[in-house]
Amino acid sequence: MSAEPRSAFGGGPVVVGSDDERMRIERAWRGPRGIRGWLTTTDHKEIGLRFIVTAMVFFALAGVLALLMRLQLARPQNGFIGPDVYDQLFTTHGTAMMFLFAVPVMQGMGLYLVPLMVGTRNVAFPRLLNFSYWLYLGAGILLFGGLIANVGPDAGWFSYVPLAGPEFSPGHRMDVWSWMVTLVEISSLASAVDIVTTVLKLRAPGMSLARMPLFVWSQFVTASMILFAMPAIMLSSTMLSMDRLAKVGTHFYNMAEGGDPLLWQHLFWFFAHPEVYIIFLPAVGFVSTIVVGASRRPAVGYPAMVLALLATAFIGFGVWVHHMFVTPLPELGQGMFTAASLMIALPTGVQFFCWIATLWSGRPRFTAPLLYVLAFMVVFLIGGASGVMLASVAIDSQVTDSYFVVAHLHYVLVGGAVFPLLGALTYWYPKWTGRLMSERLGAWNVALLFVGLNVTFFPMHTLGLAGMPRRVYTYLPSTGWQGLNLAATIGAGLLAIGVILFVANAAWSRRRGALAGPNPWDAGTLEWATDSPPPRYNFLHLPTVWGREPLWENPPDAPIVTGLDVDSREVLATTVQDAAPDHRYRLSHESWWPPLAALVVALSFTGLVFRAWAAPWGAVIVGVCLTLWFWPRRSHASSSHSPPARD
Amino acid sequence: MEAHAHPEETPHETPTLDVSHLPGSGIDDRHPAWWGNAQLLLIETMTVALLVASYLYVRKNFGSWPPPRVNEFPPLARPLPDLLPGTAGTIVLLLIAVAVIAVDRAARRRFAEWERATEPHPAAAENQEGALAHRRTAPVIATMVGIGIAGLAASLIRFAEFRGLHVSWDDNVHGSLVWSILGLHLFYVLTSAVETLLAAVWVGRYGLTQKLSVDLTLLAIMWYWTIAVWLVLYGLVYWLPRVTPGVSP
Repeated sequence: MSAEPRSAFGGGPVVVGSDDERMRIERAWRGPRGIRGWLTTTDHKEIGLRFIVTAMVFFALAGVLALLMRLQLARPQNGFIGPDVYDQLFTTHGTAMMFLFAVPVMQGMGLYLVPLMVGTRNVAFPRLLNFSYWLYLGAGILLFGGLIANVGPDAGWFSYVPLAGPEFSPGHRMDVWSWMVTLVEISSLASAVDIVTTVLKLRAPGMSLARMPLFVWSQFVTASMILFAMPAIMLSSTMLSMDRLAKVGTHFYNMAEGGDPLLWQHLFWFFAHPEVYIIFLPAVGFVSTIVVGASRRPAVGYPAMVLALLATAFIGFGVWVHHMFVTPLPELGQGMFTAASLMIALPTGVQFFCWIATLWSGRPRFTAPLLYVLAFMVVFLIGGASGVMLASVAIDSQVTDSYFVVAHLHYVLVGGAVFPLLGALTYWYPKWTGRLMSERLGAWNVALLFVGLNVTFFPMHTLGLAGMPRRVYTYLPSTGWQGLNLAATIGAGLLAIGVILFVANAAWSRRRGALAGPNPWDAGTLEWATDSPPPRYNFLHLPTVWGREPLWENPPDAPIVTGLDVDSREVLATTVQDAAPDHRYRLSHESWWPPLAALVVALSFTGLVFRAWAAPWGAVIVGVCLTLWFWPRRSHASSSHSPPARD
Repeated sequence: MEAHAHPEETPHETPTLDVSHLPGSGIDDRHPAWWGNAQLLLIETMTVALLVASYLYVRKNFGSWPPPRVNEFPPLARPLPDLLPGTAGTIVLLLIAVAVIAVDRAARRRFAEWERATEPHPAAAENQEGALAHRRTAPVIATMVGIGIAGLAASLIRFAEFRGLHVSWDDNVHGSLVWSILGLHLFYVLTSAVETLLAAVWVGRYGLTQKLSVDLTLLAIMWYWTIAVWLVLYGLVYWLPRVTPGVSP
């Protein structure tokens, strides 16, 4: 049973299943300790969790901003918050929720779970992940630091020119916005590249594309969308910054010199509509996983579900103009975008029916994660229906920039993303901690959030139809809007209590929760085929896959992978379509250069808020960091059979 | 059911899939780094495509393109970009492409040699490492240094191109766009040139190892992309204003 001898510092042949083997794998995957290990870690689980926790902190902060706004709107002509602060609050709330919470938290879930679900030891480019996290943190500090220093952005999360341009937004508030956005999207792109490559090249032998878990499909499609969508916001916000920067002063959006404000709207929404699906599709992946796990049967209509994900991704790039129906656009174009916007409801409908059929034909256990999913189905259906209404030019023209839109987008994003996310956090909590969250608190939590969401956002539909515009800091008593606004404020309070309850449940269960065991949900995917929490190397032996739900379908004598070097961080690269073993692939070790490069990039972008000269200086220093990052060490430059360099 | 619920407790009799005979590296789309590189280029392609789209979008706002410059003396009715530096830069880039093909081929040959040398067992590579890695590296290094220098030359020519645009970035939107397009592409050329020079240093130091052979093929792809993109941008910036009528209805 022994593999071929390998020359390495451990040395000697290895006996499969021996203590010697385990100790050598552990030694090969152990990272540096202490502050150095904390700063330079390349473990996808550590970084994925960090993304999740950091994103939840930004979620809470942005939620506090929302509560402040709701307090201000609780009664007419309230003097709690003035217009200047209010503008900063709603802009920072939207920006933080979209850029610092929704996308990163979904990517964090993917970064943690994808390598486990595809049965490998880490992501394909571990250092890139470290870089990505520190950039993300830098962007968050830039935004909230700006708000605290009274340079919080104040032109709305979509930052329309000319309002956001140099003429109408002097000072540095919108510079904070545009550089923060570019910074966070570099982070997003880096994570997306890692997810796509890991999915395509590091799947366990036998996990052909047709056997890939639906969660992995959703993360793969989402990451691919990020590659196409994020360049648009990076380009458009860089152009905005260049228009604004002293001594640069370009005219991309300046009508006086032939620029075009509508160019901003096109570029922004070409990014921002796909962004909605970048947030929603991972949630679809959570829902599919939870529904299958709870029903204890494989998903009904797996091919239809995968095709629905792909269709949503494609159509998602053809609907951006529905955000621009009140701009002077050709009617034919508007008709096409209406059609596309209606059409995108179809793949989502297909998935709804597949979920219902899976539950119907299974033996569902109504545990807390499934309750979140059921709440999601109801709420998202309402949000989807108001979305179909908004796809119509006639209706959109009436309610655009009113509270109707605010209601719609919160139903879609809170209902469509936050509910599945909380369900997913409950579902995978035992993976991270080894303990289950309290079921009873979970059920209360779902009820509280469900009521809270509807009390908060349903009245906004009516307010919008009654003519209340979004982004106003107050209103007159004669409008008759006070009752519904008060209701919304009370609902916001319920939502806040719900979130606090969730955090309390997580904190309490960390020590007191029921022990979960290896596979608390009797699920079929590979992340449950290892310890909870998993060791650094994920699996002692990489598994082989014989069906879509390996833990249900693998034969008892399914082979395990042996013959990888146990003394270095070696993983198995497989072919893209069939996941046939192709070659052994060695992953990089921890390094100081990714966090340093991230620090320099973040500082340069912060400098660019004030001075253009930060760009060339930053570029040179980042270039040096990247050079040293990629500098081959002799052991790595030579063929993959020499011993790994020690850290 | 649950064959892998606890891999740690897997009995020794479990069948195994032994992968120790597999090679230590793939090339092209077999290699994860190829996919990372491809995605990076996809991101950049999107960026360039949207910049081109922006150019074509604002162009529709003008009766005459490039917009005339009337705030100075003598006024320029059609400030067309000078063809000479742009075309010279294009020729340098095409010459680079030829040299890159040569390096690409040498790297692929060496990768194949590594594969042959490491059969039947990949661990054998270690013994031959020194010999094979350092065999015939001088012509490859020389070509790479040539590519790097030519890339820096193309970057210098780019500054002459900026001057030949007859418009500054802060004059009007045409200026903003053409400066951005040429500037962004200059960034690609400079990065590729510096990377080529660095890789030449690495080949000199470590020899043409299997890993560096793969790296050189990726570098070659980056050059091909940079040059192909330039041909599109060259047509857009230099020729589109010439072949389309200056004044539209």
